[in-house]
Amino acid sequence: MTVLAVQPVAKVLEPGPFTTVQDSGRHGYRRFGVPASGALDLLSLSAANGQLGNKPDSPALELFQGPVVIEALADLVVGHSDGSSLVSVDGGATQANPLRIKGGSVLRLEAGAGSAILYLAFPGGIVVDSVMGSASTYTRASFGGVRGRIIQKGDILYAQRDVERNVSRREMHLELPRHHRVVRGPHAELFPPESLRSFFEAEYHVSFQSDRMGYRLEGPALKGFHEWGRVLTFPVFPGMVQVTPDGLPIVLMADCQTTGGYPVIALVLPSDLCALARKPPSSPVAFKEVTEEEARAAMVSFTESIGFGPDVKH
Amino acid sequence: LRIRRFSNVIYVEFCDSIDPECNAKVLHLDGALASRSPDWLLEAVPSYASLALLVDTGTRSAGAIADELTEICSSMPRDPQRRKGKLHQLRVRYGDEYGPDLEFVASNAGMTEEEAIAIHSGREYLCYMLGFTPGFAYLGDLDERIAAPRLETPRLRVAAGSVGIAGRQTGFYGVESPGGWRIIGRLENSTFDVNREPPSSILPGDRVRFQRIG
Repeated sequence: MTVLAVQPVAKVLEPGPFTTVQDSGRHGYRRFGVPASGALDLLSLSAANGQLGNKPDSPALELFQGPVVIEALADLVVGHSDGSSLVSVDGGATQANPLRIKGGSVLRLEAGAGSAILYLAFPGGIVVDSVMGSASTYTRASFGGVRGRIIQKGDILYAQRDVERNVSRREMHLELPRHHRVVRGPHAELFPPESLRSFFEAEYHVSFQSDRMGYRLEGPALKGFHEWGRVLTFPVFPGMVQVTPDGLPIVLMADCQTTGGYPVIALVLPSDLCALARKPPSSPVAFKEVTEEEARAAMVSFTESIGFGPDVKH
Repeated sequence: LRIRRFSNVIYVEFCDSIDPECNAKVLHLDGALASRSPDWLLEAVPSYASLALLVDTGTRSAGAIADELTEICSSMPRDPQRRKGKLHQLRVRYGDEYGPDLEFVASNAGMTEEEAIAIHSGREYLCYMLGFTPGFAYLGDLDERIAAPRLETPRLRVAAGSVGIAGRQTGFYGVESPGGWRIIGRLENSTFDVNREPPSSILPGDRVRFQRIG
């Protein structure tokens, strides 16, 4: 394996609405109130890196609900996470992935219809200062990634120009199933049975008010939680579905706060949270309850498919 | 004691209230797990009344992990000695632009701002937990004379270091964030620094005294 020196590889011409640098997240710091952050969709992060033979959790650009346009500052090879993406180089559409681009060329990349998220990987991973062991951007507290903020026009991205590694390209299964598997959450039994049933039978839609902290869902309001506002502040994690006093669920995402005070009705399995994260606003969402054993089996196969641990020890 | 499993998250719940003895048990178990460092443990998060564990169910089933936790808890002392937490003297500028809700807190309590400040800075607090946003410290217990409800509409921006009140809790913000606590002052020095390890100088189990400046 030959690793070349880090150098400026791309200049951002159009940043998109909420593009950030993300890796597998910042682990072991929730006890200090620091969320994990990291890619909303770890499967796609891993897929994009796989195109280049990078370590699957290498830092990449996360394109959230919008395109990016970059200019290559040197001859460069990049990989992206979704075969249905709209990709063009100097205005010409291309299906190549990984994609070789000449220095000075302009690359435009956008998630295909029906997908909210896309990852763009650079050789060896984007190089930024590590904060608490991770490159991931946490904009709310302004740390990680590029100066703790979303990517802006004119930003220069650093990586290696090319890396000779064993490319382990894999099939990208980017289906968007209607159902997402969940287990019941810590406060499920505090909801009346008919309310709980309604949660599992309802069809929700991803709200436009969704971001890296949480995806709000629109649909039938759950009724009759009899201890509203009385849940003692407790630790929460991405994937948890909390119900706010208006009776509507919010699925907590990578940037979610570390503790919460709303009841948690369910917990989406990590594998199924990836698919949920890919759903653009107004996509249908429904939940399917699974047993603890099924959840465990799903976790094991998820870890295999992303190619890195469910979490990294601190 | 309740041990509850939710796929890859396990809660060990010692009680369901804000209580120093209960919190001491949470922190005792947290310390016991840190020294054992079992291979299934990915991350432990202490809170008021429970210890939340993110576990690797690929290494061990949640059921087997819960059994091990039951065993560890059964060998815990009934009333674990509180870790002798560090005492922090934190300098605070009360009122004015640093504490826009001091006036409300005082009038809500039927006293002057001076009296409210004297009460707030007049006792030692326990840091029960950190959470919400980076470095946010939950302290208690607040003198009930100056307890105050949260804002009905949270502020979009609360400055880092802001000292607030919510019910019988007091605490401060480690970083700028939205927030619904009644802000009565601001720390002179931030307790949170991403380039320090650990990033928060205040840890659960530590004690805090506020010292008025300005």
